[in-house]
Amino acid sequence: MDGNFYLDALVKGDSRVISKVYDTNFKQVKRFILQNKGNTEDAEDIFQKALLQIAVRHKKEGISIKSTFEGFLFTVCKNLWRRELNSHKSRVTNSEVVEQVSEAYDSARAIIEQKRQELFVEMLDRISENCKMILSMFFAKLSYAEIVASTDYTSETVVRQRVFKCKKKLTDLIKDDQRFNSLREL
Amino acid sequence: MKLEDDILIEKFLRNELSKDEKKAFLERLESDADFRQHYLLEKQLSESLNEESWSFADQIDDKELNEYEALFKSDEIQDLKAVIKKASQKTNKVGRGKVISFISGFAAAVLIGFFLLKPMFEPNLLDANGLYTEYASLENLPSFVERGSNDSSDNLNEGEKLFKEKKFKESLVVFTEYLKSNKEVSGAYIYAALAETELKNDDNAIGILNELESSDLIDAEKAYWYKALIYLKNDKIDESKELLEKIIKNKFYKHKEAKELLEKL
Repeated sequence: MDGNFYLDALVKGDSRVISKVYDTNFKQVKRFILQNKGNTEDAEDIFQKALLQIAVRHKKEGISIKSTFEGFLFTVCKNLWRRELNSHKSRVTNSEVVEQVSEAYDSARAIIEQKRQELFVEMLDRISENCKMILSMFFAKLSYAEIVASTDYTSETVVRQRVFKCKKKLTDLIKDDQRFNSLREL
Repeated sequence: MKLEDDILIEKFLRNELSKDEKKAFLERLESDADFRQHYLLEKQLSESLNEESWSFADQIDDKELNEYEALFKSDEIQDLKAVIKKASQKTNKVGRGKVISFISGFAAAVLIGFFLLKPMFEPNLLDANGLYTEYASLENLPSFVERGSNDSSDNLNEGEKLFKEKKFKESLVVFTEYLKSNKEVSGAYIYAALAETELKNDDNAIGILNELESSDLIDAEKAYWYKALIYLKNDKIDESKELLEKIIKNKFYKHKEAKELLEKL
């Protein structure tokens, strides 16, 4: 069955299909969260949030899945868990966001962030393999010396220029994409 | 955007500016709209494309945000939420798993070059073969593409291309031919050895790496790392460990990864 079958069933609230989605996918998500500082309750919470997020997006935008539903669901769960693990930091950094935001507002915000994440990853896939590799290292916060050590580049200056050019290509693609208008920070 | 500004933003994001530089940076963000836009995009990218962080939507156009919020509050979605919760309770009658602790720092190392292709936090229950695949990171071997164009570099490019298309047999032919007359490119040895490994000729692979190891090339030490991985793949854990220790002791290529890998064995 293709991914869109699950999307439609999810939006309709088809409990038989939703149970099947649990049976097939929950174990993998739970394993991932347990191995990354979480517990079973966290896994349940993330899984439910992910399904709801996907349903809301499909209802509003009519998304279609390029790979498999399982893969898509896992990515959403993984990103929601990333978000959760970083949420404490975010609250500390943005001291003005003191008041407790509503759950609905926070879920809406998570959708925008997920869409932004998808856009960036999609654009990163469009640039050359070499640029992708070097930017992946760069954004993983490797130092220029470490990048030189793991590649064939001969000096930090060369890597720096390469990173600069690759970033330019990536940001041009992002800025040219219409989706970015509603996703960017102001 | 000038390279200098780019460097400045990068230093700010990596927290490498002095107190005064930081102050000047923040002032410029307020007064220079272009600079601010560039900074914001760079910040979003660096948070999104580093799997240890997350890019939060702090200040975005709230039109779409409000639409989603309203949808989340709607009766239909609230009902759906209840259905999902019920399905969850049904599934979780099954026993609860025990907590496996997270290996800190592991994700950071896994990130090198391929964090987008693989799950960010890897399970810590990998077998030797899995460790080989993970650390050899075949998709992200050094590329020859940047070497300009002449006959010999065209061959390297071709060999690399075939390797990435998983045509290991063909790739091996190209690199073997290349190595007959050129002995200066360490990458050619590495690709040839890894192609042999993929074709399950591990003895040949080790032979090629021994040749690299005894060469005068500046990168000769890379041979140790790949030999350690190939031994690991063949469950020759002791041999692998010995090489990893050598890499760590001498601070050879990939010594950090070697340390981390050794801890897992």
